[in-house]
Order: sequence, then C-alpha cells, then structure tokens
Amino acid sequence: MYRRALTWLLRQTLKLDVSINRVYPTDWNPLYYTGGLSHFFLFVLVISGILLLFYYVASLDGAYASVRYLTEQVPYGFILRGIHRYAADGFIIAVLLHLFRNWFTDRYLFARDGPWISGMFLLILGGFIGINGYQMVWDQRAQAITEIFVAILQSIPLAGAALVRLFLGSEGISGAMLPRILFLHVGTASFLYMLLWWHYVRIRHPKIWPPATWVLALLGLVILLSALPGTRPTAGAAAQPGVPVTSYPLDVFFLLPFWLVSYLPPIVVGVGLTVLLLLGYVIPYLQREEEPQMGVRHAGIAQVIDGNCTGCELCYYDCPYDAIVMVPSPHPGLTKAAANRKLLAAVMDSRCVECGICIGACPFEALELPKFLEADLTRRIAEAIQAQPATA
Amino acid sequence: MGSQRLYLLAVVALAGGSLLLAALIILGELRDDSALGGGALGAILVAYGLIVLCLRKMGLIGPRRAEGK
Repeated sequence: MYRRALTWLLRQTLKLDVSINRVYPTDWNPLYYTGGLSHFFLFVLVISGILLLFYYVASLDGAYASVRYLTEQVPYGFILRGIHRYAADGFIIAVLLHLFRNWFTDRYLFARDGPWISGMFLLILGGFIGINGYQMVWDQRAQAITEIFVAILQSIPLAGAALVRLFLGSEGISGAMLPRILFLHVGTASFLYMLLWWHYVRIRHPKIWPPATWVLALLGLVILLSALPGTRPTAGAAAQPGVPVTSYPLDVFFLLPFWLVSYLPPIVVGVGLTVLLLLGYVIPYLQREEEPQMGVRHAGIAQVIDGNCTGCELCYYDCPYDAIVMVPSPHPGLTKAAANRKLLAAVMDSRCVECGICIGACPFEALELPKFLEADLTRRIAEAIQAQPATA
Repeated sequence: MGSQRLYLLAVVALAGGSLLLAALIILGELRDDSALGGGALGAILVAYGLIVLCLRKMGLIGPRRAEGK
C-alpha cells in the first residue's frame, strides 16, 4: 500500500516537472532547486537577522518597544522586519517542497539516509527558530504562544518542568526569558550551518543556490510583501502577562501547533507532533527490502581494475554517493593509456551502493561490479534475446 | 521567430516598467515614504527576474544559447 502510494506520487511529481518544464527552461525548473531555494532563504534570513539585531533589546520591558521603534520610526525598518518574516515563510515552504520531492522520488535510500536525517533536523530546528522569532517580538501573540508552549512542555510527565526551565530560564514568564530566547534563536540558527555541512557532505553535486531569475524574483517578492499595506508587518498590542490573550494573527507555517491547542489538549498536540517527526526519521528505513534486478540482488561493491585505471577522475565526478576518491598512484598502470597516470581511483566500501554508475562513467574498463560482470551481462542479454519467440 | 518577438516585447515592456518603478523609488525617497520606495524596489526586482527569464528563453543567456534558435 505504502509502496503503491509512493509510485503514484512519483508519477504525479514527474508530471508536474514536465508541466513546469514547458514554461521554464529545464535547468531553471524551481522544483529542481528546492534545496538551493531553502539555502537562499536561509541566507536572506541571516543577513536580515543580523541587521535586526542592531535594534533589538532582549528584555521584557525593552523588546516590544524596540520592535515598535524599528517598525514605525526607522526608515525601511518595517521592510527589514517583513523580509525576515517572509523569508522565514519561504524557507519553510522550500524545505517542505524539498522534503516531499525527495521522498516521492526515492532520493533518501541507501547512502542518502544521511542527508535525509540531517534534513529532518534542519526542518525541526527551522520550525523551532521560527517560533522563537515570534516570541522575541513580545506582543500579545508572543505572550499567547509562550503560554501555550509552556502548557505543552508542562504536560510532559517528569521532564516537563525541567524543559520549561531549559527553554525559558525560569518556571514561567520572567526577565530571564527573552535573553535566553534570543540565544536560542541566534545560536540555533548558527547551528543550522553545521547541519548544512552534514547535509551536503555526502552529495557530489549539491545545487546550493537557485538560478538568477529565482533569486531576483523571490527577493523582490519578499520585499514587495513587506511593503504592501495588507501584508506589511505591524506592531500589534504589547504583551500583558496575566491578562489572557483572546485572539492573535496566525502564521500557518510556524504556529499551526498552537492553533491546534485551541481544539486539543496540549499533551495530545505534543505527542502527535513527536510521533509525526519520529515517523519522518524512519522513512529511509521503511522499504529496505530490495527487488532483484535482472536476477541480481547484490552486485557487490565496485572494484577498481588497477592495471586499466588512467586516473582520469570521470568516475570520481560521476559517483553521486561520493564513494570514489582519487589517491596518488603507487605505480604505473598496465595499459598504454594508464602508463603515465598520476592518480588512481579507490572505492570507499562503506559508501558504495553497488549502482554501477562508475562503470558507465569509465571509458577504460577500469571498474567492475564483481557479481555483475560485463561479460555476464552480455551473456544474459544474449540469452534473453534467444529466449524471445521469433517475430515475423 | 514568433516567440522570439514575443519575448523581446516582454523584455521591452518589463524594462519600461522597471524605469517607472525606479522613478517611484526616487519619489518614495523624496516623500520620505518607505512603503512606496520599498514596494517599488521589490517590484523592480521581480521585473528583473522576469527579464532574465525572457532572455534565457530567447537563448541570449544561459548554458544552452542555441536553445532559442
């Protein structure tokens, strides 16, 4: 059932690609750059966040006043806030598109579980940073989500009170809270770049930046949304701890769990979110059973035929799993082409997924899958052709 | 050739619109109106993005320059 659903989703994803490719050049299809778009929005967030920090005062008395001053008094201050806010929304949209696209197109199996796991951490921490950002404004929305956040944490048996102290610095709303939230916001955002390193380290050709048309258009859109009267960020009413907040504007990309608390007990929302996120982590391991292809289940780790390798690096560049490294050649190769080589390809066993891409990349027959040799393949094809009934 | 002309017209129209938006940025500065200046700045970037896309579709920029021919 799960596998059939994924197959259907893969077909729909590819159909969507084809539709978009009719409008955009194929190498500018935005769906091919969901990772790059996420990175672009993260970059905008970091730059605008650094500028916002110059004005922000992290205290219960000063936070709201500083945000209001920035919004109403500083030239283009509200646009700066808007850029930070809409780039955050863009980041979450791009990350979710990236997640679903890679899920539906099976780009999380075998050696790609590392990028998937690090990507899940990036999504969770991105959401956490977004919630912190709304708290930092310290208006009535910030007060409401802080109270709900505390309620969700306190509903956790045994560890609830400790978690509240960890995230807020005290048992509830206090003067120690906003400096800690600022640290969590900025510190965790910095940590995202460490996770990005983990995310990229095993990908041979990561697309970390979108094409110019998307950079210009999306940056323009973010600025435009920040300036338009209906979508411009405004300073709401200041927080008043102790006075219940009856309503607040909702950002569906970050604050949906807080809306759910209006209808469900905090413990249910907390457990539901935790289960959902844990399911996200196990996705790469749900379909480990392998289907034999042409009767071969395990082709074996790719092996370099030392005498034939010329050190040309084609396999090194083509391996999508970063499983081939080039090492200084200890001795010349046997063939004429390999006689003067400087480098020799070496396969890292732990990274090889036995896909055979390197064999296609090598023009010198210097790589092989030990249980799936070219001679065997040729023989199987010949047998298959012979087994076919003759047609007129 | 028809689509080339269409893209060319789009580039000319977007460039003209961008000129107008640039004037609005200056006007926003003169009136001390951040919303006008900022909005025009955002719109001009969107227009530039579309111009780049049209140039790409025409085959004038990008890795596959012959695509538009």
